[in-house]
Amino acid sequence: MSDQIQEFDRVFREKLSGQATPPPESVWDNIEKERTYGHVVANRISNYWQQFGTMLLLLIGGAAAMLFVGGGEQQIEHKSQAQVSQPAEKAMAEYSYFPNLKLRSTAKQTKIAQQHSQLSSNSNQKQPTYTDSKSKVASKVNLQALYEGDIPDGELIASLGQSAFARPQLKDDRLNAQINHREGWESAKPFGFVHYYQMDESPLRPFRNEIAQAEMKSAGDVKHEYFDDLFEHRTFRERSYLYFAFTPQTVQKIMTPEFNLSSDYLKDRSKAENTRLAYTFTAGLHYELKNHKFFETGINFTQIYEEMSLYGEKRFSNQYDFIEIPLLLGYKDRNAKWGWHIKGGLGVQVYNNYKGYILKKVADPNDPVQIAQPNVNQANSNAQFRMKKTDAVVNIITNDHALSDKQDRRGVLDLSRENENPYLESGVVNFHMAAGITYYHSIRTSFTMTPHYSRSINSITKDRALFKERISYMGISFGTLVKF
Amino acid sequence: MNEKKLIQACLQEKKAAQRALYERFSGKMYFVCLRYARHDMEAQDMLQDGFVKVFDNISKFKFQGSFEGWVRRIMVNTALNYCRKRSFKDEVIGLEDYQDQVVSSKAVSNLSEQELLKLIQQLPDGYRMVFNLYVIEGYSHKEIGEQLGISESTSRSQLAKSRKWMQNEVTKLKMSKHV
Repeated sequence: MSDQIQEFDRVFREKLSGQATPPPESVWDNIEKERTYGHVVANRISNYWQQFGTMLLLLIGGAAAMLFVGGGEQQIEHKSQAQVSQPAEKAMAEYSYFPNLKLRSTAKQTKIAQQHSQLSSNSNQKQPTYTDSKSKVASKVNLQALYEGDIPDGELIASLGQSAFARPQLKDDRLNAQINHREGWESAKPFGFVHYYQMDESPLRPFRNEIAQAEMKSAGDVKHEYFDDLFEHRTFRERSYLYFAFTPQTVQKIMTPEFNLSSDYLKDRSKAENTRLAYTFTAGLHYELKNHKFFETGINFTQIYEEMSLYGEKRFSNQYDFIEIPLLLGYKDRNAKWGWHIKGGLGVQVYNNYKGYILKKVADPNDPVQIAQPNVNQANSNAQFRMKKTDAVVNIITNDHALSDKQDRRGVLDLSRENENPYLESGVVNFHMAAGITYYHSIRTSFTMTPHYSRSINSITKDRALFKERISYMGISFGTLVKF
Repeated sequence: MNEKKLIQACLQEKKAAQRALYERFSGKMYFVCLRYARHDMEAQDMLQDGFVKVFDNISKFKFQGSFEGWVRRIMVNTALNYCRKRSFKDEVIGLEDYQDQVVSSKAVSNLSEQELLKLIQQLPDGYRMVFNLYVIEGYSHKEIGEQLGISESTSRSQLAKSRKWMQNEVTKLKMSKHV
């Protein structure tokens, strides 16, 4: 019996394996149509988006630069108002230095407002074109014309907008499920676009048939997706991206005194210290895990530059350099050219470097710090000590954090001296969280814009320091992902 | 043009090379699809879908092993995806009504390829997949179970039932020829 069965199987195998039958010519025509259409549209979309994406990035970058670089002066202005109520510093507020700053700042704001209104009016002029094209999408599109390569620009732009900004939710839930399933990281061309567009009226049978015959299955029922396994088992190289990002930031120090330290010292410091420059440069690895999750690690180089002003004068500056290894987990999703992502995790500072000075706590009443009052009659004093935007860059490059002539050395701690520096050289752990958008520029390159918040969990000060200091950072990260 | 050059030209999206590749394999692959499909139209859909996947993913072929085997694997998986979506659960064919009878291999070998193909196409989806994978592709029950998401024992019983059904059909054909 068993032999007969084996013989039965053998005859079938011999007769049916290796046979060939020519398929009808229409199959090749359909294959060609399906692939050519996708590529032509993808290339044209790519050209449009390259131009649009570059302009958008430049605009955002410019706006961010204005926000972060120009922020310093306004902080000073704000602080001068806060200090008015304190009798000891009333003179400082009345000092003619700050009104000057205010004027300069107002003039600058007016200029920015003018530029902004110009930009708005330009974009208004282009608006009708977009509205027209959008309304075309609602009407029936001639697919045959599209296949023949006659793609009207209006329709192209409209469908481009449709595909990039919103996934059309179709009536058929099974169809939506299928789109979600097909939407993979590997879609080199905007795969979704082609199919979304064709879906309702597609003359291409396989896609339609596949969907029509699809049955809903609960997650547990699908034990093995054989085809997907074949192509989604990607190598390390295929899952990895180099990640570079620049993050201009605002920082806030959270300082708390130990039991025997007067909080006045920290108040004085927070009043005097102005953060003039804070940024992080990131270089690392972005590694895609399963199910849209990803892992990021690498090196963050963070630099903070501060200037101390007392009585309206710059007295000294300092600089913190941190090297940190971030370990972040995230989730990302995409729709054709645009996507979003969210990530969070911890970072460990492995090397901290400090230069310059910070205010010293005056412990001994017999050793008062002599803070010289500025000579109000001296005409040049404002110009001489005015903070300039270039100071931050110049001081960092020249490594010059020298004290002003008017600052008593006994009133400050020199951060470059081990016995005076109260800060840790490593071991600070930061909490990170961020969420942003991604623009998929090409197969290899995408750009991200990610509002980012991080904060040190433990104090950056040594145990023997008389205060705790934590830093919180907020900024927008401008990044690039480059595939190997 | 040898196979390697043809694949490299396809990687550069050269139309002529894609057409040549299609010409080279479409006949065999169409026959593979016919074995899994219920009718010609469905086989054409499978073939079209399969070749689009081949061209889209040809960069993933690492020149290790046979290219024909790689293409064939894609076709089989595409066909399985089609069939899998028509679940086994809906199939009611009452195989239990068939008599246990063993047909000699000679009776089978007397049938033409087209007749055998028709027989396979008439099998219900689940039975057809198991029969194709086990008898013609040479997969084990364990592999079939993994691919179709069914247990090994289900695969065995499906195969037994499909053989029984085939043997009945062969007998019928044989009798009708004698008549």
